[in-house]
Amino acid sequence: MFSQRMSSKINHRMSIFIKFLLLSIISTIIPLVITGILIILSYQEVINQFIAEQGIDLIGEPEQGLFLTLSNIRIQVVLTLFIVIILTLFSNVLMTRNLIRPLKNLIKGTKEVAKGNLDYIIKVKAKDELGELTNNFNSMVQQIKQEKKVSEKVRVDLEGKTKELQQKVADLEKFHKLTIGRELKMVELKKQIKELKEKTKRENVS
Amino acid sequence: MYTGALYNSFVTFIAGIVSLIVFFQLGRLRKKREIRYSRGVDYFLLLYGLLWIFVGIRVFFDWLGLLDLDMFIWDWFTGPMTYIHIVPGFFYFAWSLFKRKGARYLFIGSLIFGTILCLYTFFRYGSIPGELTYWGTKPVANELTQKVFILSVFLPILLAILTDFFRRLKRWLKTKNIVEKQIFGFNAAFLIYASIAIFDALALAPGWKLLLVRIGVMISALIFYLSANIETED
Repeated sequence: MFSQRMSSKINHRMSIFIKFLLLSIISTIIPLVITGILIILSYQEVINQFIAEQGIDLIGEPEQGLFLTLSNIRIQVVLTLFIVIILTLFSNVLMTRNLIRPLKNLIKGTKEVAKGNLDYIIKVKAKDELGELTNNFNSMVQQIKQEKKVSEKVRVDLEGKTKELQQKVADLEKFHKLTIGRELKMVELKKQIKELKEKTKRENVS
Repeated sequence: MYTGALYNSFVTFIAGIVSLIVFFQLGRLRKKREIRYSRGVDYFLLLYGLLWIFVGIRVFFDWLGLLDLDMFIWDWFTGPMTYIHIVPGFFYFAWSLFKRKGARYLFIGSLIFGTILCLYTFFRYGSIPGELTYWGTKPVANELTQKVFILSVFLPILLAILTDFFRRLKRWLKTKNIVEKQIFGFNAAFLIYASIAIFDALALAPGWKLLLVRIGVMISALIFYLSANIETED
């Protein structure tokens, strides 16, 4: 059981980090790499178009087309930044949802358990640390439920035993009262016998 | 071999792929639990994804310098698909806006009639091939098709989107219902798409502005994704 839990911990340990890493790669690194490649290709194109064809010595005034290409490259960079911003925002929204949703479920779960509802089970969807936490929360609630059942059983047993004992005490008290009553009567009778004996003795003497 | 075209193709592919992902995700969600909105949105996303992937392929051919293939794809796929891909959207808005079946059929029927008219004029009068620029080409349908499209399809559907957008926003703010929020999200994506993609359909954004439009299309696909992934049950 313990080793099983440990292995699940090891499996999930890095997953939020991996999610962050993947999202940052998708939203920033990939567009930047692609843009980098595109920019290199654009410069290659410029070189092919304006230098290789004319030869370095023949280049005089830079042509209008060259300026246009360079301006297009600049626009490309600006648009890439725009795309990166959009994809970063998107991945942040996605990541926040991914983190907040299980946390909200956990908050709801703790509230339910605090109210005493031990049948509340949170659905485990995430396969990361939060999923593990939710799983552990469910196990904890189940454990509490089991222990509550056991303690309830003990309490019922104890109540039964207490009642039994109370009954016995009551019986004993009755018996006690009865025996004390007899003893008092015996003392009284003994006293009377003694008095009668003394009375008889005095009469015999006189 | 203009690299701007390659860049354009990259952005368009993202939009197409994201919408296909959303299509499959909605299918998965429908299997798992009851989704209370029309299937029109699912099929719209499928056609939307296919359209933009093919636009991406077309622009990629621009980059390779294969302009004949570019025009072939435009004439036989992306051109007609520009009108066809919004048809499932008619069903979605008919479901969302009208309770009575008669009104729904009338709404869908009139828009489909407009679409058929667009397709007829498109194939009858052809299209104008766009000039190859650093950002690729942008062929456009003939003027008559454009006019028919604006009057018989675009304006009615834009009106439907706007009406539904504000109606759902009001309902969502009033009820805080998660399904209303989701439908409002879809409507927001539809609104962004309709108001941006029209510039693409009518070739109103030349040069680098075309790429800006395609980034807008990508944003709408991302909003579709976010809306589809709103948790409707805990």
